[in-house]
Amino acid sequence: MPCLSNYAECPIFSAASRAEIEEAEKPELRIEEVTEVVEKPKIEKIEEEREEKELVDKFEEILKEIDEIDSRWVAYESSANRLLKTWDNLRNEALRALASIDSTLQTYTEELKEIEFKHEMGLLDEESFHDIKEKLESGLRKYEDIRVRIIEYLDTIEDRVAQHYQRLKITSAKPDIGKLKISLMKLEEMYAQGKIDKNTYEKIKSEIECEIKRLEKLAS
Amino acid sequence: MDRLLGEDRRIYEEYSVLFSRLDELWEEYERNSFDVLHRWEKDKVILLEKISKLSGLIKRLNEEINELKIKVDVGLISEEEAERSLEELKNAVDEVSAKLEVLERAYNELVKRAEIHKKRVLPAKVKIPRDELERKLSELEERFARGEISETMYRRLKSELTELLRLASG
Repeated sequence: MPCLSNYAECPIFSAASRAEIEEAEKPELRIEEVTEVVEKPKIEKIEEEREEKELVDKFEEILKEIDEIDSRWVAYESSANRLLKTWDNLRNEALRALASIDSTLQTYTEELKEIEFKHEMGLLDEESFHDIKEKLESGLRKYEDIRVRIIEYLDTIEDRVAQHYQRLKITSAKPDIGKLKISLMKLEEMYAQGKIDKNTYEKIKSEIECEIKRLEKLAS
Repeated sequence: MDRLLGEDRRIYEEYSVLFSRLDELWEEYERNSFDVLHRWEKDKVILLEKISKLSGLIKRLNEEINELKIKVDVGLISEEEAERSLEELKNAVDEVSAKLEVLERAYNELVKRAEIHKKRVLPAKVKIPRDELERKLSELEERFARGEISETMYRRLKSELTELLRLASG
């Protein structure tokens, strides 16, 4: 039974008071929206930083490789351009050599015809005829062989140079085609006006047409 | 001749020796001429070969000059680009033409000199009757007309045959 006179010492009253105090001291339960900041463990964090660094390193590596390839392309481009220029000069030289050889072959053939005719007519004795004939025929064989070899070299090198030419020309193929077509028209006009002879016209025309075909192939 | 006496004999003997000497000299000349002409016919091919090479080269260089000019005209190459090449090509033409001129002059001089000796010794060696020579001459005309031989060759052979015919008539 509660002690009504001395309630401070009353066990029932003091138990009740304690419960009241405890209730009051209890923190208020608030429902808040809490942004969850998850503190990751340290090892995991280090691992992540390492991965990011690796990725950056890979980017840098790729950039270096691109630089490397760029500089190789520039080196290739300048080497190939140099090669094409050298080949252009050498081809002209070869065409000149062929013109000289053709002229020589023509002379040898003429001479051979002349001594055969002289021999037939009795104007050239047997010994002289055979000596000169042998000399002329060996000259003909020699120059025909040289001619064939030069043409073979021209064809082979022209074929091999073509792939480099294609690589270098691919970027400017379209504008070049337009320019070449205009040149072709001008050439035809000049020929129609009688300003150039047929051989030169045919030669330059075929050069331009071949170039157009080659560039059209590239552009497509 | 044994009956010749005195001065007559002296003259006869002296001139017999002299004429024999002339015969010997002629034989020697004839032999040497054939030998030199034979060698010349073989070696002239070397000069002809060089002349042909240079002529062919000049022809090609001139073609290149012409083509380059046309390429500039039609806009395939710029004038600046062509300028240097044109100058180089023209210099090359001048240089090769000078070489060719010297070589042709030397060749033509030797041809003329060979002709002089040929005319002297050939009739003695080539014994062709007149009618045969006339037949050959007309055959030459026909082959030239058919285009089987060049004009240069035709002229050269005609001159040789005409000379032989003249000597045969004489």
